[in-house]
Amino acid sequence: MEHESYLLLTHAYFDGELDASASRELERHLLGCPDCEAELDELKNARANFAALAKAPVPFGFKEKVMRRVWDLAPSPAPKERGHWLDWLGLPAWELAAALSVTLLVGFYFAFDYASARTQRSENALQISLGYDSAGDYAMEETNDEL
Amino acid sequence: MAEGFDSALLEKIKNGETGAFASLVKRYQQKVYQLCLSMVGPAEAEDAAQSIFISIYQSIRKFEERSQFSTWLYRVAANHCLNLLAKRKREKTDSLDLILKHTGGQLPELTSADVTLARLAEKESVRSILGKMAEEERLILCLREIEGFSYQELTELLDISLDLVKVRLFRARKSFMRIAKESNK
Ligand SMILES: [Zn+2]
Repeated sequence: MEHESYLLLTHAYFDGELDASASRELERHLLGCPDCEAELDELKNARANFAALAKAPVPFGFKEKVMRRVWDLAPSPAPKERGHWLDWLGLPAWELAAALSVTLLVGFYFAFDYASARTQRSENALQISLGYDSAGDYAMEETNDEL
Repeated sequence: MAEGFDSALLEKIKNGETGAFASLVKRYQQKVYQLCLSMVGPAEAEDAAQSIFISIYQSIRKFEERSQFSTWLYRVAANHCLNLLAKRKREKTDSLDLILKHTGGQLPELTSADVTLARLAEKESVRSILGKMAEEERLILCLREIEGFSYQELTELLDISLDLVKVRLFRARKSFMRIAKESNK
């Protein structure tokens, strides 16, 4: 085999990429070839230089910066502000308005119903205790809670 | 084991668990950043590494796991760096053309700021040697020496034959040693 071929083999040998028999053949050659031996030393020196380079730390907050960009792209809702607070319900505006007015109507109906029932009851109770809290106000408070 | 972990993460991300991508970034950020640092230099390394993870995220649903995830990631990273270098080369030529046009063919003299920059680069000897190498040789050398890829992995990653891996790596190392000797003179 030519010396040049051995030189190429020296690199593969250095990388641990030669099989057992090729390694033995190269080792025999290395004993009698100062050039290939010097090449092997140079390869070791070069690798030592790279070792220092491999330890460069990742810039502070790198992962967080990437994730901020990723959340901006994410198709699913990100844990960030997403426009108007009503958007949170995920409904179009007209649907929201309709739902809200139905809730209010039902709420008022029950509030009124409850208030009149309460007035009747307090009128009875008035005979027992002196009610300085007006029944109407009380009912309003309760319906407020319900709403 | 390592690939199993990657697969589990990939499945989560593909199912919309965006948060799982953070684990993937954490797992590979060091390696990707190092490659960028050696390929494009410190000024652009972080930006390049960020962009690489963003393109990985954007195309993750297209990744069908025919190869290992890490191989795919490095291929994306390597291509991104090569593209950046090609773009930089074009811009350099463009700006040189522009300077020559404005100065009537005369190159302006180096200012003291330029000289300081040149000296700073010398300090980082390995990186400056890498910077003087051809891009493809620089890439294969970094993948082997910094990232520690085997020849077989390099064939998959660079999509070249085993013989070409051996030859290209051999040439890359010869260039590295030649430039190192020249700069030590
Ligand atoms: Zn020899």
